[in-house]
Amino acid sequence: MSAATTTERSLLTALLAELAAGAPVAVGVDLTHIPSVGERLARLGPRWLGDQFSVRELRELDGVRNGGHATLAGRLAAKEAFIKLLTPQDDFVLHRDIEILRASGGAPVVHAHRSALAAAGRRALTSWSVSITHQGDWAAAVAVGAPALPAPGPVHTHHTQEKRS
Amino acid sequence: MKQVVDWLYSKNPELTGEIGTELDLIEGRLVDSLDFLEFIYLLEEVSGSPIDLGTVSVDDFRTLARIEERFLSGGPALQDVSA
Repeated sequence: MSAATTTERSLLTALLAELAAGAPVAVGVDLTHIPSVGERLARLGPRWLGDQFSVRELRELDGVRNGGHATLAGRLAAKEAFIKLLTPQDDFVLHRDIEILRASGGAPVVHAHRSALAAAGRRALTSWSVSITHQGDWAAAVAVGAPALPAPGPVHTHHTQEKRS
Repeated sequence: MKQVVDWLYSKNPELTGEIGTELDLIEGRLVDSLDFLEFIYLLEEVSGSPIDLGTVSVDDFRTLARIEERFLSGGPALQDVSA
């Protein structure tokens, strides 16, 4: 297990606070078959790749020398997990609008744009994180998100209210 | 429409019987997320028109009836089917 980055620790702290406060935490999970991704890439070519990934993602993916299909599948799994996190209704959330990029240290980070950002806004989600893993023919990803924490305010107890009245 | 139905059968070989025009293709998982773009490409090929995903909704792809109404109605695809 790798050490958590400061950002991951902050998000985890926020999520734990959400849980402790009984606030809703959204979760999405996806499993993607790596050979199926390779087959689609071979058959559908650059257009399919360009419709799934942003220019920045494609630039990163170009740098993957080994296990390229596994990386593609992992990123697609992360996008799908993020869509499940957003639970859009009739609206489309496009894969290309969910950028999965590598943060310093190698952990995946989600940049939501356009349709993804709009869906996140409708769910009032302001923070999220994804994790990706590969094993054999499969790539899996989990996405977790939470709404903004309310700003801490003054604590009003029954005792203080009684004193005021 | 025949090309669309054939594609659905090719992606779901376990399917037997007719795919009803009101069957929910999304809920029924006849079109899954990994295949969705390929499905769009097929509809573009059959209809002869590009599909802008910014102007459509999931419901436009939910049933064969809706797909025909939204993308194939009066287009080259209908002529192909009737030929």
